[in-house]
Amino acid sequence: MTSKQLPHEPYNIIITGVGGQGNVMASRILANMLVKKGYYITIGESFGASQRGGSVMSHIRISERSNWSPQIPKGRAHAVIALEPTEGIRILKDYGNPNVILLLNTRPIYPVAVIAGEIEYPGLDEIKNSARDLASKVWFIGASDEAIKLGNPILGNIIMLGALSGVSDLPLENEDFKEVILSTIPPDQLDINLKAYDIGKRKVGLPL
Amino acid sequence: MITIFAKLLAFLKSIDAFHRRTDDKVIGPKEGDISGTGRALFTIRLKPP
Repeated sequence: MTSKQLPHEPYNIIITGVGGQGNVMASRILANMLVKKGYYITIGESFGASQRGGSVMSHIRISERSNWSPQIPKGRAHAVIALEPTEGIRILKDYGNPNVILLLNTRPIYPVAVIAGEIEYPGLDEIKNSARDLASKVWFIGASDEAIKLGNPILGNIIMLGALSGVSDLPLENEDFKEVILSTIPPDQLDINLKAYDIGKRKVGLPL
Repeated sequence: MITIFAKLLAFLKSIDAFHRRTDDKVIGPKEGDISGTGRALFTIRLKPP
């Protein structure tokens, strides 16, 4: 028996970024939090050159009734978490729709072609305008910058999960996060992860 | 030395990621899947307790 009726059946979330940003870890934490609430979760992890800075995408399908197929059909995402700005725009173009919500980490990771001077990375204003055009609601979050302040840039994924818990209709509770993260990381990393999760909530305007 | 691919592979195995699963066979991830140039899709299924 699930704790809450989903706004959509199944509820489709995409977490996207580049290799090394903690995409897989974020999808697993989110899934474990939701399975505690009685939902069936199917994750489709798309890898490829991911460890060399290539794009990574996790499809997370949440259902009250059964496990769905691992890939979200084009145009059917309900929420997109972009750990990297242009990856978010790229995914929205394919999987977005007029009702999708977007949480976008504003710190770019430049691909090799940009570093080599072959192509230009779009400016943040251009990215923000595209995001507003492609999604119904957008939250721009300086997750990597906040994570660096905390002392570890990898915590950007946890900050983004905290932000999702603040804006989505899903039952993502602090206690569940604490339990799940404790089973995932060494105990001495708990406090900093809880802090990161709370920062994410604060960034979308929720009281701690 | 543990490569970054081996580390990712160990993590994928720990969460029961798979390529394909039939009634009697599971095709799990291999290091070549994640160290190659192509893309690979893995599935992870979780059910409520």
